[in-house]
Amino acid sequence: MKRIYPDTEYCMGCRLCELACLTTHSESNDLVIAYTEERVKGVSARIKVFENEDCCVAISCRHCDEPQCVSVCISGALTKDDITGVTLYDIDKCVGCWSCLMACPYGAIQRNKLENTIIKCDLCEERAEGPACVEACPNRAIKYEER
Amino acid sequence: MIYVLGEPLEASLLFKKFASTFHEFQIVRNRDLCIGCKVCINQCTYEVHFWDDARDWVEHDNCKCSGCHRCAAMCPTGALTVNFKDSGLRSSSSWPASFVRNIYNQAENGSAHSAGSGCNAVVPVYWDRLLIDAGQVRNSCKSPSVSLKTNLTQNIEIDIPILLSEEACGNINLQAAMVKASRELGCVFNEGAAFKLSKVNAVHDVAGISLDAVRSGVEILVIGGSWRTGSTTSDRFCKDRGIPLELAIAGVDQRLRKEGIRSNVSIIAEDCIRCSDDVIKAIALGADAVNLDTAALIAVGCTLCGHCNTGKCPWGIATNNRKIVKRQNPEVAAELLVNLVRVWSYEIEKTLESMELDSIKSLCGNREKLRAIGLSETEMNLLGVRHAGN
Repeated sequence: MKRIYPDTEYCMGCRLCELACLTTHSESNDLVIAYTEERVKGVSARIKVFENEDCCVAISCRHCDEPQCVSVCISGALTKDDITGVTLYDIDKCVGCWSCLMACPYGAIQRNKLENTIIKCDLCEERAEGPACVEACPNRAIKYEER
Repeated sequence: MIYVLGEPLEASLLFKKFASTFHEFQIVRNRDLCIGCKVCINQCTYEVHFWDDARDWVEHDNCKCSGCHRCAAMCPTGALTVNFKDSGLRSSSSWPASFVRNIYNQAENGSAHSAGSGCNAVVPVYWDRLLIDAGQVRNSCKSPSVSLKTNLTQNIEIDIPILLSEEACGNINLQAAMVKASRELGCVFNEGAAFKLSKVNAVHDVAGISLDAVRSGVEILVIGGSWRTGSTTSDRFCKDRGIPLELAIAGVDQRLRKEGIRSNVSIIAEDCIRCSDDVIKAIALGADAVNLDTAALIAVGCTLCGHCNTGKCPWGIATNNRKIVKRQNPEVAAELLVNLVRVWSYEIEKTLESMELDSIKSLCGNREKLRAIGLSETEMNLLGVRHAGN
């Protein structure tokens, strides 16, 4: 399956991927409004840039072959789509136990700070151009491809 | 908003040195568009932008700005504009504001600008004083059937007369990009071939130095403009060094022809090549090929801000800082270079066609295809070019 692969070699830590993700998952679909108004209502980027002295990397859900978040999910909100390979999240089934947060070895799942749900990458399923973070990266340090 | 004379309070009043009043650039931040995402903060390597806790927004210190425009290019809302600031210094013909600003800085900071000691010489760009003898441009859609292949020494054939200097600025990622682009374009000349190459700066005795080099067996001469360059030195500061590249190429070519040894060597003109017509003119003046230096750097982001000496280039070009150099992804940079050179090659083919030439080789040293406009007898004589209308 096609996955989002960050490249630590060329990630420069600008965080434009976060802004693109935030905007794509906002109601207004407008960066200024999403950042200044919708963030306080819980809209958040599903990709996060981590940085140390040597490098930066943009972390988002890996859509693992054997996702540990799915196996620990007590409510059945997290499932693995056998056909597409995507790790799906059903917000209506989520009870907010956050076991998945603990289980994810990549720290790719975030807690929604306003309600008992989680925030995680959905590969921009509804976006015709593919994942927004990939398109927004000015240095091609995030790729969406089969490997 | 607390502003004094249009400057953020803390940057303009307390603790400042006088010289900092006369900074060259002024950042204009549209507060309606600035969302405080901090992209400018993380992209500016000169620490111009910073988070102001007291005001809870992004602030900037104009004094530190190099005018590289990285912040404006990266700002996702288009909130930033970088303007030139003339400081309102009174300019006279002998004391332009740039000199006053320099002296303030040198006196107060005791530091030399690595880009040179300053000069305001008005040196003509001869490319712009040369016209190409071309017939009517045909607007045909069919691709031109002219050959851009040329030889460097007798053994090395390149597909196009445009080379990419991988030595430019010693940046590992850019070197990789240039090798990648050169392979794709078919203009690799320095792999697996043995030849004697010598680099000669366009200095006053460039013809004599070149003659000696060729007599001692040099097969490829790279003639570089020692002034008007935009990369490692700033063009604002080095206008009075050496001679223009155009005069250097023409002089070397004519001298070698006179001595009957022009065919022993290939001449590569380096730098100061700004567009495809400059390539045509360089070759007509006697070069075999050109090496893109500054133009290649501009293609990958360089804005000629002239602060290469800091080693902090926010575009990731004039730096080998392991983190900043990541800003040049060789894959992206190679694509930009290939695009640029392909477009120039196409333009050159079209121009050659309209000049009724079938190959770039037949243009080499063919000064009859050039005419001067508004040049003196001496200049035309040095270039070996007749005046337009003649």
